[in-house]
Amino acid sequence: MIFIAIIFIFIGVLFSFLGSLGILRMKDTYNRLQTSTKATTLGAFSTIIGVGFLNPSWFFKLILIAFFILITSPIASHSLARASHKTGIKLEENQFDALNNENGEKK
Amino acid sequence: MRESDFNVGKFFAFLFVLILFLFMLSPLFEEGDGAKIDKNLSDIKNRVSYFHSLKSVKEIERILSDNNDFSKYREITDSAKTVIFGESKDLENGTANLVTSIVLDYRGFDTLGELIVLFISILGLTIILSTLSFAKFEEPSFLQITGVKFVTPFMILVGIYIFLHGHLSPGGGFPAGAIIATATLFSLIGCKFNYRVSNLKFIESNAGFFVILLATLGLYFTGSFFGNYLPTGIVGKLYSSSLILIIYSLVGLKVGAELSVGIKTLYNGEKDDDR
Repeated sequence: MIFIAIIFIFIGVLFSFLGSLGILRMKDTYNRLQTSTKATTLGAFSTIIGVGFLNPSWFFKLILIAFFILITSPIASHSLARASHKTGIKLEENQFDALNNENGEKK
Repeated sequence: MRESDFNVGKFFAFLFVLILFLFMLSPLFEEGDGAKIDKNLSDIKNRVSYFHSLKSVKEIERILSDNNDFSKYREITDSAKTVIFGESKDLENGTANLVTSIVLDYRGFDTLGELIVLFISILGLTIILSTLSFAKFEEPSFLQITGVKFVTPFMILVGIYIFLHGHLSPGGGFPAGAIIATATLFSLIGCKFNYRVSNLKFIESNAGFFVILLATLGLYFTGSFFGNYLPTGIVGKLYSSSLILIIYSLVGLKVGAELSVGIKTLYNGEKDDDR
């Protein structure tokens, strides 16, 4: 039981570390959002599952917390990306934007 | 003064506030024997705070060995020797959370001052912002609408839980009010739920009024402002600390309604409100 818990917590810590590394490495707002939210969702989720294996009496509460993280984190990243696109923040290297029309103007 | 300005309700409210104010001032004009401090406690060395302000362990041990009477001030209960969670009855104010008993019992007047400071700041905010005009907000997307509709009831539930358990667990009225105000902000931005400012003002003013009323009744029953006059139950139960539970719930409602009014005026000013 403890061995499984340690494996889950290790995966969570690894993904959280990679997400924070991605914030430093990526050049652009959208890429940073992608690395941070995806990695943090998986990192927090597997850490919570690991703690649930360590202490099985908390498992129901921890499942609830993981469920709320799974719901709220993608919506938060979606609204951040949407707001930054609407205010006109551009990509760093590739200027092609699928949401704009052929002349490069906003729809 | 025109006749249309005169209102019977306003007149009685003013009279009631005047009577309350005079009643609060009444201890100043009484001739008494000063503050009621126990003769044993008038010696500073017998007080609990003196014990806690000593820094070295050796000095504490020396005092404990010298003065055997001192040990009784370290216990909170009257009958039992130690406080047992879920069994001890009739404690000083019945809270399991020490911070809450300090914030709302020993220093209740300070909390009332904080409430008034928050009220005045929100008042200034609404007065200034209601004269300005604001830019239009973006329409929320489908994901935001569904997410907000799912999350907002749970946020209000968590806020109510936190102010109801203010005497048992960390938290209390102010963070609970902040959580409720965040939920109203979500519902305003996410799914355009247009709540009325007048209802919030009703909740806020009545909660503030009842906080001061209950505290003043403590002046009548126990002789001190914010005194506990209802029975304090068993430690650790939900209905344990008598007045602290009620006042913290009122504080949570007041802060939540106040911050929601501020958010609403930040959103579109008070002009668009249909009153």
